[in-house]
Amino acid sequence: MNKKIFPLLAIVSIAALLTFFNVPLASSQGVTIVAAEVKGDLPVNDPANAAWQKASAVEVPLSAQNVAKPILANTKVKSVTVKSLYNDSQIALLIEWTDETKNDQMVRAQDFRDAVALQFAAAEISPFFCMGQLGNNVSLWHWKADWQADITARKDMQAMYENMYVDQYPFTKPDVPTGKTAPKDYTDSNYLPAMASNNLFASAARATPVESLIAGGFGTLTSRPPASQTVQGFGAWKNNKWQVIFARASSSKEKDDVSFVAGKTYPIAFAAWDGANNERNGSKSTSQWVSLQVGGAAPGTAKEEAKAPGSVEGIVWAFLPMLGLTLAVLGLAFVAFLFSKMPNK
Amino acid sequence: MSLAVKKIPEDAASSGILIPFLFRWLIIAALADWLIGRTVTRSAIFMPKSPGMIVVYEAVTFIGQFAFTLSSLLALIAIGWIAWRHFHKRSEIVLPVALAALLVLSLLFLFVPPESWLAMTYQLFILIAIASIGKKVLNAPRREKIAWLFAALALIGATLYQLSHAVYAVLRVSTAPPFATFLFNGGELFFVLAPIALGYESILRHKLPAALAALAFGLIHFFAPAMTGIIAIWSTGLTLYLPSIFYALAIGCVCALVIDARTRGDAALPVLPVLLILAGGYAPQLSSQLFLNLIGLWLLASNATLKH
Repeated sequence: MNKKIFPLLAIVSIAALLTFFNVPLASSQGVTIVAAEVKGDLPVNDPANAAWQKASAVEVPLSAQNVAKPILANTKVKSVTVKSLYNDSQIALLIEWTDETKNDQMVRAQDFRDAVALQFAAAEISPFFCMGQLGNNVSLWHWKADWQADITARKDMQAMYENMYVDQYPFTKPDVPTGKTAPKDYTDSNYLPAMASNNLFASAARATPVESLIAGGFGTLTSRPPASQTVQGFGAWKNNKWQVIFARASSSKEKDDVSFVAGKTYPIAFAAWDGANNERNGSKSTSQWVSLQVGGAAPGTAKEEAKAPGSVEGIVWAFLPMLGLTLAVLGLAFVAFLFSKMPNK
Repeated sequence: MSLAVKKIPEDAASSGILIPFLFRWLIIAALADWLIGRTVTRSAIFMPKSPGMIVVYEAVTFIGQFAFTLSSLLALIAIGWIAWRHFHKRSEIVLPVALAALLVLSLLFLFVPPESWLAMTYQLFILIAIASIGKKVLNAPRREKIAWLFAALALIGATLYQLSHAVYAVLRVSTAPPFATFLFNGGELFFVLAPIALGYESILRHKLPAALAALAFGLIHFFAPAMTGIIAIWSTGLTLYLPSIFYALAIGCVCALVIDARTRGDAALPVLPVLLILAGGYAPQLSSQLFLNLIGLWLLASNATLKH
């Protein structure tokens, strides 16, 4: 009995000490998105920029959000491909996904937009992946196709219903033709209370297609104040594919926001909406937490950068250390195996 | 927790007293980590708590953290023991090397991020370890072979998903690997099919409890989807993309297996590896969870060869 109990007691004691002093024994081994370092400005408005070739792409599987109602079982976005770059002051993420239809208008009641969102844990631990939990908030960046379209050319009812007729807009400038009004034409903001109170949804001119939000559980999603909407974005739809870039300063002074430090790893999760499938709010595709590592291998030296991605030289250099390590381990084990004693039968 | 380990696979049983004893504690610790540390405490995150309840909640959280550390420690010891056992018996060289490499790399990753070729090496060793364990079931009966294969394919799918990204990163290819999502989702399918393949005979013997367990899952999923999400997605790593009937059936099979383990000596064997694999979860995010999966596969293979 003692033979059993003493080793077990020793193990339990060690485990208790490790728990008490918070010493980890398990390392993270999930898929990691590694942000590649770039010298100079980040290509925040150009998904085709060659700088993005420096970053490895990670395909993150998505599945229908089935935790909170309303649940839409057959969501359309099955995965997103993610790349990340950073420099000494900014971080950017390029998100790509297949979408056969471009849905960037929300003027009509029956229309829903395409969108994608990133979620970061505000603290070091990963809270519940669906909008965080009480005491462990999450920070969200939500790019919206209609907000992107608003920046290019805002459309209103008249664009959707060309033959619509409006008798009068009583609070607009007198010289604005009937049926051609826009929010900027209103003279008295008392009659546009949402805009007067800086509600982002009523904004006449958008600075960014990304809404920055915070949440601490279902039903707590809250937009950050207008002054804190610091995430920039750019999205373009081409060849049945959305390419969306998020960019923000690496550090943030906002409450419950994440600051990115080179060499550190952060939990990140993704959500995407296909407007053509009537996806909106909780009806969406989501991922679980994956890791975003800011920086990885040393930034490319001149010699390394000379190797084109996927070139034969690059492949050889990449495989050699791995091959060497594997052969060394196997060789050592084989020698030990040859010279070890046979156990007594 | 009082699940009796009535029979330990041959490799474990022939090693003296300590290691089978540790396997028993490993299973208990892993279940405690899974059910208390990753399920009960997370289930209570949205529950309003009085000051008294907060004290209880914090105590339960600490127990969960302790169970996690204990299961991690025991998993490290068990992996080391399996490697040593095969090496010492001179029965196998590849498996001990692969397990030892995984052990060393997992500890190294506590200090060095697992990236590029280091991550690729790690993933390759996982596949080598699975293949080496698989050699044990080559001569096993077809049913055991298929059941083991399903469990192995779950881990292989998740590993290939990660390996494909690691290879592309090493090759400095800036596009995403094709079929990555297909591999990930395929792995989940096999993760659900494995308990069904292992427990379909047990379910015939224990129809009612199995049906009740499956029904309970269905009802919880319908009336409290958040709870299902916490239990299945957050704590087990599943995405629940398959029709609910798959998950309900798998839960019914696990329930039937556990009841078999309580009532029949021989039938008790497959339930322990299944519980270890479930505790490890799908697409393990931590090295300790991977080791639980590998130990589960190894026990399953040992069990299959016993039946041969």
